[in-house]
Amino acid sequence: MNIKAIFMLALMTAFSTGVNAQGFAGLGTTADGFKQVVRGKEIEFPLDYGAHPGFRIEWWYVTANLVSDEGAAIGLQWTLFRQASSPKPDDGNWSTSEFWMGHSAVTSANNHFYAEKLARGGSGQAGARTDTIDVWVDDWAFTETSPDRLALKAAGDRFSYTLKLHPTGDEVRHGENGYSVKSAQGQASYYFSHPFLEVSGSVTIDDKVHTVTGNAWLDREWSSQPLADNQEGWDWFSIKFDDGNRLMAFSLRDTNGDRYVSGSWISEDGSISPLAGDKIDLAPRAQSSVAGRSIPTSWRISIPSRKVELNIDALNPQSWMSTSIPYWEGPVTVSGSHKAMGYLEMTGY
Amino acid sequence: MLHVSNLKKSYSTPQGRVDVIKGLSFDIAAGETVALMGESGCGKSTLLHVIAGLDAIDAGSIQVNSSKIEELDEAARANIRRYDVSLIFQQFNLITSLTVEGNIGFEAKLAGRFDASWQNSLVTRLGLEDLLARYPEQLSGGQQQRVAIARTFATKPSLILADEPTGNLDEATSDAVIDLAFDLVKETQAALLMATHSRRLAEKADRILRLKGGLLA
Amino acid sequence: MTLARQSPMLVIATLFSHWGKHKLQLATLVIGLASATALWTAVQALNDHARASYDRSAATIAAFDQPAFARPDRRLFDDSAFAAFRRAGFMVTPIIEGRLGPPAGGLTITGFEPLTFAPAGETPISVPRGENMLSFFDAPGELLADPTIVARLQKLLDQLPESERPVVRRQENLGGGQVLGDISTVQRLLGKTGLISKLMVTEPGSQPNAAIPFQWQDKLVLAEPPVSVDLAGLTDSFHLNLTAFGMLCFLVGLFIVYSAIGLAIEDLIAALRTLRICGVSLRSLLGSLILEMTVLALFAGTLGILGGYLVAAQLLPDVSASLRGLYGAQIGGSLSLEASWWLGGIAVSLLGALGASLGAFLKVSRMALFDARGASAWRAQQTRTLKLQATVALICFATSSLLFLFGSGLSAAFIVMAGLLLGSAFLLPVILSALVLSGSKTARGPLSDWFWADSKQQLSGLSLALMALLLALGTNIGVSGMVEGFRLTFNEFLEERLSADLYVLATTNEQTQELMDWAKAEPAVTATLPIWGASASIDGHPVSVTGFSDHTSYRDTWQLLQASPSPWSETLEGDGVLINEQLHYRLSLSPGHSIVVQSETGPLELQVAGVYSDYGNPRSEIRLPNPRVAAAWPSSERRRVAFMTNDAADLQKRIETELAIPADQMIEQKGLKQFSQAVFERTFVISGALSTLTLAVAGVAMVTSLLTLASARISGVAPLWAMGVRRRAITRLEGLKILMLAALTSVTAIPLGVAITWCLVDVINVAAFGWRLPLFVFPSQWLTMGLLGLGTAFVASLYPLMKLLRTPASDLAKVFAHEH
Repeated sequence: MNIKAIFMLALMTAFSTGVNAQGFAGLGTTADGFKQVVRGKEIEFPLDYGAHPGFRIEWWYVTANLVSDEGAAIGLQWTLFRQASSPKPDDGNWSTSEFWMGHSAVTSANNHFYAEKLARGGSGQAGARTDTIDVWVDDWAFTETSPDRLALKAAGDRFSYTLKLHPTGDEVRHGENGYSVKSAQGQASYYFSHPFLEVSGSVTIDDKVHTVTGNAWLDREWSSQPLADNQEGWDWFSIKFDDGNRLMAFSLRDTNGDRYVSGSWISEDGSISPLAGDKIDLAPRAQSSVAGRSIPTSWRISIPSRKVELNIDALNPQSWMSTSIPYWEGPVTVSGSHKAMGYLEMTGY
Repeated sequence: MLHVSNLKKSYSTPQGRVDVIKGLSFDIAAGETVALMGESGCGKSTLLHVIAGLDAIDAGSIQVNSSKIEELDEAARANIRRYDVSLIFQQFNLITSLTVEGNIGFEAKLAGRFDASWQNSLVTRLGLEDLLARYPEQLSGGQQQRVAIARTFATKPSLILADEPTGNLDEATSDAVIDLAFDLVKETQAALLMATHSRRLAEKADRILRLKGGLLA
Repeated sequence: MTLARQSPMLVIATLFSHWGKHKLQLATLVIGLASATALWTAVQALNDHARASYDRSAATIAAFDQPAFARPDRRLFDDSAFAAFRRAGFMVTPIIEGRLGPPAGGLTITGFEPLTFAPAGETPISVPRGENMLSFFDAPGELLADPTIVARLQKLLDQLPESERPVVRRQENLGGGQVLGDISTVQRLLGKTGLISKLMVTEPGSQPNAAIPFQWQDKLVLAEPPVSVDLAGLTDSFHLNLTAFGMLCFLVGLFIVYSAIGLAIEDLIAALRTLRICGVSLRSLLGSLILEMTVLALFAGTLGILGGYLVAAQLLPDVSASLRGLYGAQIGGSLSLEASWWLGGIAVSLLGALGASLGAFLKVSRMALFDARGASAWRAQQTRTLKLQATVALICFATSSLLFLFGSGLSAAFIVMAGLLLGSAFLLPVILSALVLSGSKTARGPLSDWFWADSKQQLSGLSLALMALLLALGTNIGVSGMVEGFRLTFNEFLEERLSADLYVLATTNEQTQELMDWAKAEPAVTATLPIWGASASIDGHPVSVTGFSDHTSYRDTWQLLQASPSPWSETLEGDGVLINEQLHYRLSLSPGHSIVVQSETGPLELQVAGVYSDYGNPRSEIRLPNPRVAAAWPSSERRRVAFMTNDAADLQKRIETELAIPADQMIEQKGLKQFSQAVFERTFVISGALSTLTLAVAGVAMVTSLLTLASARISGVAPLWAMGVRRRAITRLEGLKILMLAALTSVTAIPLGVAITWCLVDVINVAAFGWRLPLFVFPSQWLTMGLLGLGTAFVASLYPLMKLLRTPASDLAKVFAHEH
């Protein structure tokens, strides 16, 4: 999700009133000795689950659609961003060549709780191993506990969760075998997803413990120069069909009002086929008033070639993340041609 | 006693110079009472003031006893008032902070001529026995003027200058006060020059001087 | 158009043409009003400014005074604890605190970690944002500093190589004396890389149930923040003192306004009467007068506020110095003219002007349309007034006495003093009248008769100015008596308390032991007196605990204010304890009382054995022998040691070289005394300055009173002149009269001044600071003040007397002329 670099920028402008336009430009056009994303590099597992020092930004991103033991739908988010301000590695001593920002959220039809963590590199407060999944900020962690077993935990003021994740399929590499071009100017990132994760665990909301099961989606992406200058906002969907197929689709909004739409169709067996913009249509259906803004919390997704006609509705339209850089992120219900669940992220509103 | 010759006095006012007295000459002998008459503003008060040395003259001569007022400095003029000349005004004669008794004896003491028995006789004759412990503001106008007369005669001056001394009093009181004063003048052989508007009072005097246009008519 | 409808304009025109002709009257009115407003504004400004500074300081301090994990011995520890605690779910943020530069003149500096520093509530700390954030984090970093100390900080930093020198950024809203920086920057500046002082809890409500990380379990404990000193509460008394002075100045200023308006009305009354006779209604007349006063008050108020700003700006450094010296309160920044002052100043000016002219308005509303112009019955009036004044004085004194006997607290103390001041002021005319009456018995000759009689009469007109003079002189005598007494006491106190020759602050408790072992083998050291310290509470009241060693220097030199039969042996050998005077007053404790002190090892029952004086200490304190402090407070601070020696300088040098204790952690007795004295010298500068200003204002009040009287005086002295008293002699007598009245006032001011001193040292100080000063009297000061009073009167009377002397003879003569 290259648009998430916006959030990384949030670190540089942390606590500030808005996104700094110059910061965008700087991030978009120079690399200052950072490692570059090149075509043809083979993405390796589990190595590339680890951190990539020398690159400017990267993130670990998990969303999950769960059902509680009482049958209620619950959405989960766990995100950790790493942003380097210089290519030299952290040397301890409160170094600030790296900053970390974590977001987590629990969303039900009636509640949406979220939390944010900020940390600087070098202190050990946040960090990541470089050879496998082991990332943390404070007591939030995403760890490989044993082969094919991942543990995810986070806590906020009124919620906490501890989950076990178990892969039921393989990772998928987006773009050209993981080399994901992000703009006509050639910006690119390394990008893979793991859309087949079985989840079990417990979610505590207001001191009430819920046992949960469901599916999760993991994204890993890293880059040094991921952004085009004129990108303004982003609507991103991850859909998990009951029949086992997966859909990833996004619409990039630029400052001219143009949209760049793209996606991936992931079959049950893990094979991936790109969806070009003319193959997929994303259209807002209804707006909700959220945090003083008007936000499209209902969508229609059409993929005529695959006879897909989906109505997407937010489980909780008030899934607003009022974090350093605010955005909307929450689980969605899906109706129409297929049965499915999913997650929606909308930025730049 | 008093010898005035060719006296001139003018004031400068915002409207220009005003000649109040344009050349006066007259004499008053000891024991003589002289009334000074004239319209308001004709210079009666000014004449009395310059004779007392309260104000300076422009030209001419004023001689009291053997002293020529115009030749004296302020200190010597004050001495003339202290020893030779006594003034009675229409108002503000008395010292408000002193009792009647203190007022009557004040000038005499100042001149070093305090005479207790003479003062007592004056008090009796002026009917002030019961008022001695009072203060000026507790007296009527007539009483105040009688105190002023007692004070003046207690000092035994050779010249008394009175400026409308009964201006605030009714006729009967005026007559009584003036009769007493004139009697005392005769007795002490002082000279009296009294400015007045009242023809009736003026006619009690030995002589009347009429002032008109800065000259004697 | 009828006259009645034109009347407001007509009246106003008449009034303003009056001021045009009497520019001096207008000037005194404006000066009086402006100076009253100015002094009042100045005091308000200083108070507001200081209080705002306290609030900011308190906010900054509160931001760092949260419960925190720290070592019991307060030593620094490895900053890896931060990540360990965070990963265990503890919401903590690392803090390092230290001192930059020497102990005297150095600065307290605090390092924090902005990303995790999220104190509850708002703080004045604002970290640079956006692109500037990196320069705050990265070497050489940036420091945020209160503007008052930026220069001092810069000077300290200038000793560093340029590449290591952090950029200093002023932060206006930080509060006094604060320096903040990123944790890495402060670690580097203090030479403590990798170390922190504490892990402050940022979300006290949401700590995990988990135990603290294993590797830190025996090393760090969660400590509640120290009981913070409430600066606003501590300094309340100081500000009340300022406010009282401000009120006094304002009242004295109003005396001026009162007499100036009185004078104007006196002059105007004929014109006003004419206006009334011509058909102007009383309502319209009064309305115009009020309108006119309002215009003048607005003008004078504006001048006054500007003047007040200047006075306050002038006094601010001394006020800051006093507050810093007395309470350690830092006042930052420079004064700004605030809207609230404008409003307050204008309101005060308006109220003052209208209040002071109330009498004049009353006079106008009661004036007879046809005046006999006779002598007024001043004597009866004066007698009535004197009786009234005597009654009011008695009421004031009675209130004062009742509150002294039965009241408590600082407000009661100030009312005692106010009663004393007002009562004396009202009694003054009564006293002067009696003195003049007895003076008149000595009169020989007509002029001395007149002199005394006239003095008595003039009392009525002059009494307001004389009251102002009395208040100013009394306050001056009172305040300078207290200051001088304080200086004496304090010097004696320093002699007694600072008996050792060298005071050393070791860096750690361990180093203290090393130092004492070293001193044992040192022949130059004749005595080693360690001083342990801890914090405790008695019934929730915070007290500091100070240890002492058994040494004759204590038994011999310490004067106890109250003591049991054998205080020292009870304290050294039994369960006795010595308490400071502050504690004695605050908790009403005396020798023989039992107290329960909460110590680290539990409640400690002690018997009060003695009370010692502890001037200038804002806190309550108890003293126990060092071994008992160490036993009850295992984590007590054991870093202070005093040495007796013949050559303190040499000892200091050897400790520095042999034990590596920095020179700036040691101070010789002489230096400490000088430092303390300098602090206290400045403490009362502000009181002195304000009382001098009061005297100046009293002088102005006297000038205006005399000017008011001057025109009436001419008809008063004219009869004397007509009777042959020379003008020079009259003028001399007039001057003598004023000086005589001023002299009598000055004499009356002496007992008043002594009473004020008594009130300050025995009532107000006890209520405000918790200590009582011995009452000293300084006759030489009385003489100075007496001369100052006479000087003030002389200077004030010069102009009116010169005017009398210079009145043209023709003007004097005019008094008598019935034709003008």
